[in-house]
Amino acid sequence: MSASYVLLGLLARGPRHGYELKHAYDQRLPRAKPLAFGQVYSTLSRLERDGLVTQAGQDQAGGPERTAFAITDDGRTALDRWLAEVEAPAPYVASALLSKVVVALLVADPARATAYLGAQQQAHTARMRELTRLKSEQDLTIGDLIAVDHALAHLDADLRWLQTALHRVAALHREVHS
Amino acid sequence: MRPSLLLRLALAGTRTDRLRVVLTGLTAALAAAVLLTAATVLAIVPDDPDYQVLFFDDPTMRQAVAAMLTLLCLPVLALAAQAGRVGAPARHRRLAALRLAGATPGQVTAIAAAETGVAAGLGGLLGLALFRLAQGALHRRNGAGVLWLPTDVRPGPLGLLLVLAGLPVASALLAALLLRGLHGSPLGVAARATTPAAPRMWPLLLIGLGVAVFGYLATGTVYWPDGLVVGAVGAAAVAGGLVLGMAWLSDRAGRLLHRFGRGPAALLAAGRLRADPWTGSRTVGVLIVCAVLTGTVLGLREHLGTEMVAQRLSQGLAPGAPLPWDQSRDYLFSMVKLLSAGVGGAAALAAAGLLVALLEAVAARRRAFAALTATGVTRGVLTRALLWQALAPVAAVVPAAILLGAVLARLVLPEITVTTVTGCQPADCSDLVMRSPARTLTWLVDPVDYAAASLAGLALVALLAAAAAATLRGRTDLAALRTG
Amino acid sequence: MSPILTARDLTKTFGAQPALRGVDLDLHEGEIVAVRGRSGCGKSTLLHCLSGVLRPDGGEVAFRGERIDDTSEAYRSELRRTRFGVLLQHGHLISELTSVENVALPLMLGGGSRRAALAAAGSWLARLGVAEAAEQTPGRLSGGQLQRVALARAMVTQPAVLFADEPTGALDSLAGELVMKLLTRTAREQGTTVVVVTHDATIAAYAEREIVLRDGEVDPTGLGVAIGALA
Repeated sequence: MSASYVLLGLLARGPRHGYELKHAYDQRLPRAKPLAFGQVYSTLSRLERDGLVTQAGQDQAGGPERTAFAITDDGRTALDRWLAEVEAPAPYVASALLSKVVVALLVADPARATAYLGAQQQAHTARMRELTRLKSEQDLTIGDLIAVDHALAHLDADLRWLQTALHRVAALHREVHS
Repeated sequence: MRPSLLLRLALAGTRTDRLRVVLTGLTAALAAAVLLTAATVLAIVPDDPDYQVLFFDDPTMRQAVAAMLTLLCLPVLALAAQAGRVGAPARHRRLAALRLAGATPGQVTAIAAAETGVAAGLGGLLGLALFRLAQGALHRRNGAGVLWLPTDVRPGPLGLLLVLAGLPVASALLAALLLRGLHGSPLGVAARATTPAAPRMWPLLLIGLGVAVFGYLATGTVYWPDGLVVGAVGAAAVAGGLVLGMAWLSDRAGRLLHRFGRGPAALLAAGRLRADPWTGSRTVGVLIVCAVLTGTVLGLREHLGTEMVAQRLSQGLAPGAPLPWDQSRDYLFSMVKLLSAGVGGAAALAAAGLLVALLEAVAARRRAFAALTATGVTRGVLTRALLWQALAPVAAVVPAAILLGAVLARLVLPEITVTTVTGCQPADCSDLVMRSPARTLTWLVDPVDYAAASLAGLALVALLAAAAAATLRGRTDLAALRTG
Repeated sequence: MSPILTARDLTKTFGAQPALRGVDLDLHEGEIVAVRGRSGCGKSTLLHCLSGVLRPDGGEVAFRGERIDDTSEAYRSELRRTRFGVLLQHGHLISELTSVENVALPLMLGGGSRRAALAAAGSWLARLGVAEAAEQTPGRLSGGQLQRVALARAMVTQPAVLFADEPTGALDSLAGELVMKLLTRTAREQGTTVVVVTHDATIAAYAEREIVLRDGEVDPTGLGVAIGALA
């Protein structure tokens, strides 16, 4: 599901051809499941159907891979709205969180990225507080305790990863701009 | 804070802390014995008592003996200071932990001062007991009923008070002064990396100043007793300069060793000297002062010997012929003997202090040595490194110091002239003989004596270092390597 | 109600490095606050300035409305002994005294009776579940026991504010959880305000709110890092 928004994010900087999009996706999210060409084009046609992208130009010789796509104003709005939405802090958000953070850092301007990531971190932290309070104050069964520990550990891992990502980006930024 | 708590905290300690308390007590006992002896000597009342040891018959000699004994307390003080540094880092950490627990700087200082004061007080009592025992044991009369030493005299009440009350109070105050570093933030106290300041060269200028003072004395424009005061000032300047300047010399020695040293032992020693030139440097300085004093005594001996040669030449006697008895010469010879004994005692004390310093250095760096041994550095290398570390700063300084002492003696003592007869009244030279100086004899120090003293000094330092190195463990000390 | 502990524009420099560059802080009575940030951001320094262990170079710290940053070392020692409690990562207990003596120490330093102090210490050790460690010296205790003894020492004078610097840093997760549970529970029972410095989110989760520091300043975004524009 988030694949659509990644493509929108990649298009936010400017129009690209289909094959460029596929390569850019794989490059930005190398550890994620690689996007098959077919999935790229089906996603693109869905986005076009929804009016979020439009075809910008066409090499006469080519098929979809040669077609250039561009984001529409509706597309930008949808992207912004997706970015502003906080991913619910829960264990299995891995891929959605990853995509969102990557897009936010690489696409959005610093102010919006800060706002988004700050909100995300707040949500995670608040949930961790809730779970910790649960653990401390109530008499939970051993099964519940283990489940709460599991959730806490994953949330902690998310936060730690988020911090590391931020620091990497900051270091890179210093390198690039020094 | 209740006294019981004070005592409990003061005495809470490990084996090292107990060792420090014992050493402090012992040095206090030594100081007490020395001071009591001086007080006894000063308390000899009749102007011309009769003792076998002639020092004690003459009032001026007695004053000299008392003065020398009091001066001997300075190396004892150095030894006490060195003893007080045993296990100091651990105690510092413990006191810092107390600060963190909420103890005020005053409370913490009181704890440390109490430890030192009680140890010194008990040591003083021990010293008194030993002194009395010694007096009893040495109470001997020869065939004519003359006492060997003034063992029938008791030190005056003032002396007793000074020793038994003054010692603990003074050491407690000194301990409080030395611990003023604990008055800052407890964290700064606990976490300070203690990188000591780089040593400065200015103390060596003090030495030059002292020598200049002696040079001024040599011009002969100052007379006794002012000359004594001026001489004392000069001596203090030289001694102070040496003791304080040893750190700079150690640092320089470390640099030279680093440049020219071959092999791991030399490099280890060089690094250690440059990283921490201050540890034990003051104790070594006291030893160097003893070397200067040795030089002075050697110079004095040479002076007397040359005097006798000049007298023989003036009288036209053959070398080695006996000279008529001269009381002042006899006096001076006794002085030389007294001084030699004093310098020997001071050197022994300084050597003891140096041994304590070296042992402490080895013990304090147990972890570093254990790490080195674990990586394969043999005990032989570590021993050689310790020898280098001890000898490098003093190798050139000991002979130079002895020479300096001889030079200072030369400056102060009068010229030795050979005289020739210029006229007689009456002409057969049976009554008044007029003499005038023909030439002067130069003297400084007997080369053989000088070489022997220099070698003895260096050998002493090497021996002490070897003794300290003997406490190194052959195998890796695992307990020292554990983290935390 | 006015805050129990306030800091205004705190600055502190060590050598050439500024550790704190103008920090403002308000602590309300009874709350539990976490101070987070990466290593070197100044959080420990902030704690030390707030608890009077260090004197800030600039700015002020006020406890119950009275300034404490310009008072003498002796006064701040007394304050730390009576009104503040300090818990550090490594207990800083005195290894030559037994646990119960260590806990009783702040009471005895104030001139209190030895018996009463030891009794109070004993009951605190029991309350925190380490009564069996009472007669042992710190060298024989496990990390978790040590930190609970240290917590007892911090709380024995019933302080108004408890300062904890990475209290579970040297502990495994279950030992750390126990320490934090006991810490928060006893603080709530006594009405003690708590400031916990930590870089660990699971420990910060025991607090009610969080202050994030970045490079010696409070970071309002809470991220601890400045995001710059990337090409």
